[in-house]
Amino acid sequence: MTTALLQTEDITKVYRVSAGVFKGKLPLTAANGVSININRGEVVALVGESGCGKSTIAKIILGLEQATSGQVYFDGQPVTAMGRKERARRIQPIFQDPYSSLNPRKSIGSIISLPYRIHQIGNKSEMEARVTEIMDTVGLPPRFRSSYPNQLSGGQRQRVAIARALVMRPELVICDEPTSALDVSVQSQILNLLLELRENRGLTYLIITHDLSVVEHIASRVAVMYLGRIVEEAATDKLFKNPRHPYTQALLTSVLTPEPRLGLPETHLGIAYPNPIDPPPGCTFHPRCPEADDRCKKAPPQPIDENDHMVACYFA
Amino acid sequence: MSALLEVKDLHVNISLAAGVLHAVRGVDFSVQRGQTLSLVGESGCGKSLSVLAVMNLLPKKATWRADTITFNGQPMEEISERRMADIRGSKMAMIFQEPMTSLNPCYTIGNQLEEALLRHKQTSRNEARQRAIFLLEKVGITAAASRLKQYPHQLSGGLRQRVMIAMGLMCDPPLIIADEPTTALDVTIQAQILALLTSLQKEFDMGMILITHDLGVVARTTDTVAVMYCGQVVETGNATELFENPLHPYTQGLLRCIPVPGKTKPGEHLGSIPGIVPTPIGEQTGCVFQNRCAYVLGDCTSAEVTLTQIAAGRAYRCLLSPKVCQKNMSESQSR
Repeated sequence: MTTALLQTEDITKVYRVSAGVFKGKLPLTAANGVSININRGEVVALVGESGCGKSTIAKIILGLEQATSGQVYFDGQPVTAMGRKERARRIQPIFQDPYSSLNPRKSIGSIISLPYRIHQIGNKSEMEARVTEIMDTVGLPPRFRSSYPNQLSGGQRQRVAIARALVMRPELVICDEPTSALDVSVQSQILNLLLELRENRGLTYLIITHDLSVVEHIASRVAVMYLGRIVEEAATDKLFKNPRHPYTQALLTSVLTPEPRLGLPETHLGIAYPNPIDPPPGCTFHPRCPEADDRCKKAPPQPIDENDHMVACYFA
Repeated sequence: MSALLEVKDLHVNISLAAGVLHAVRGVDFSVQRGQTLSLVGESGCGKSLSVLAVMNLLPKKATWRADTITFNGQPMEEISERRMADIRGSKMAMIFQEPMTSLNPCYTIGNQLEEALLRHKQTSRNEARQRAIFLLEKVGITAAASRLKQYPHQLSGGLRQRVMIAMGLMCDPPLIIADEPTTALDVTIQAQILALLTSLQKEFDMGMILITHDLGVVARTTDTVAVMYCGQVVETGNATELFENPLHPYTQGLLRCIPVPGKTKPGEHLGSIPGIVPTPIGEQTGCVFQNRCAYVLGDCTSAEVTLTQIAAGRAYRCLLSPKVCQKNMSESQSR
C-alpha cells in the first residue's frame, strides 16, 4: 500500500470558550477524533454545515492551530517534524473570501511573489519569471502585476489567491469554500481553473465546502462532518448514489437545483442545530434524526467500514 | 385583477466621481396578491436597488424616476415620505438578508417584534406580545414566549432568520419583499425556511418579491421570474417555462454554469460566461450583454435592444429570434 499524502489520525481539538462574564471557561470540542486520508492526486471534499468543525481541521493541517490530541502525517512523516517553512511550501491554502485574504496595500505582483521571497529560493529574475508564468496559468493578464486588489473583481482576486498558493508548487492545496463568495458565472470559471490545474500539475486538493453540487462535480471522495465527527465517507459517486447516513441523505435532498418541477424538498430535520458546548449524548445527530431510537441516545455508533464506504450510524 | 404593485420604466442613477452610474435602466415588473416574483441576477445587476427604490429607501446618493409605480392602485408619487413611513412595515415589509446585522443587538427579540405593531396599529402591548408569540410559533420556533426575552446573540443564524420573517409578518402586510432571505443559512435550513416562507405567503395571501442570485432557489419557489443583468430585465416569464426553455444568452449561460448532480458530468468543464460584468457608467449603446455574448452580431453593438414579448408574460431582450436562441441552447447542451 502506498502511503497517503496526508493522513490525520484521531484529531481532536478542544477550544475553551467563555460562558459569561463571571463564569469559567467551558470546553468546546470542535473536532472529535477526525481521521482522513488523502492520497496523491485525489480531490477530497469535507462537507458540513457551519460550526461542524471543517475549518478547524483545515487550520490544523495548515499548522495555524495546534490539535489538542492526534497527529497529522504528511508524506508518511509527522508534520511536527517538518519545519514551518517546509510545511508552508508543501501545503498551501486558498481561502473563501478574496476580498479579505489579499493585503489591500500590496500590488498583485508583490502578493504573488511573497511566498517566493520568504523561502529565499532563486534570484530575482527567476522569481519574476515564476510570477509571470503563474499569472499566465491562472488566467491573469500581465498588466495586473502592478494593480492593487481593489482594482480587481471578485473572480480575479480569487485567481490571485490561487496564484499565490501555487507559486511555490505545493503538493497539497487546501481550499476553504473557494467559490462561495463568488457570483454564479465566476464560480464556474474558478471551478474549471481548479480542475485544469489539478490535471496539469498533479495537485491534490482538500476542498472544504457546504455546496454539494460543487462537491459532486469536482471531488473524488467525500467526507461528511457533523458536530466534530465524520459521519460518512465514501467515493463521490457511491455517496451520491447510495447515501447511508440520515444526515447525508438530508443534505442531498436539500440541494436546490434549477429544476422548477421538483418543488421544495422536505428534509424531515428538526431545526435546532445543537449547541456544540453542550452536545447531545449518544449519537450527536439523534435530536434531528427522523429514525432515531433509544440506543442512539445512549452511545455514539461506531464507524463501520464496508467496501470503502465508512458510515457511523446504527441504521446504516 | 389589478396588480398589487406595478412598476413601469424604473430608473435608478447614482452620481459618482467617475460619472453617473445607471444602476437600474428601465425596469418593469408587477406582483399580484398570492404570487411570487423573483428578481434574479448577479451582484451589481440592480435587483436590490429596484426594490429599495419602490420602498423609497435608496441611499442618499441615488435618485430614481419611473413612469408609474402604483401600490394597491395608488400612485407612489403622491405619497409623502411621512405617509411612506406608515406604509413601510405595515403594507409592504422587507426581510433583509443578514439577520446578524439587521437585528438590533441591544433590544430583546420581543421588543423588536412588538415595535412594528405598536408603531402601525392601535394595539396594546399585550396584544402585540400575543401576536409575536403566535407568529414565532408559526415560523416554527418552540418555547416562543421565553424567546421574546432573549437577545439576538443568543439565537442561532437559522432562528434569527425566522425571527426576521416573523417580524416582516407582524402587521400582516399585503406585500413582502425578501432580499436574499436564505443566503446566510446552511443548506438543510435553507430548504426549510423557503418552504416556510412560501406556505405563509399562501396562507396569508401575500404578494412576495424574492431577490436572489441563486437560480436553484428561484426555480423551486417562484411563479414568475425576471432575470436581470446590468440594470435591465433581460428575460422574464413563468418559472417552469423560463428554466426549461431559456432564450436569452445570459440566462442560458447562467444555467450552464451550475453543476447539477446527475446531469452535469463530474470533472468535466462547466460552461462559463467569459469576461466580467461591465460597470454601467455613462451612456451605453446596444445590447448590455454584447461584450460577453457568444452569439454577438454586428447589430448588437449599435441597435437598441428592447424587450420582445413572445407570449403573455414571457419576454426576452435579444435580437436573435426565439427559434435561433432555442437552437443555440440545445447545441451547447449536446456538446
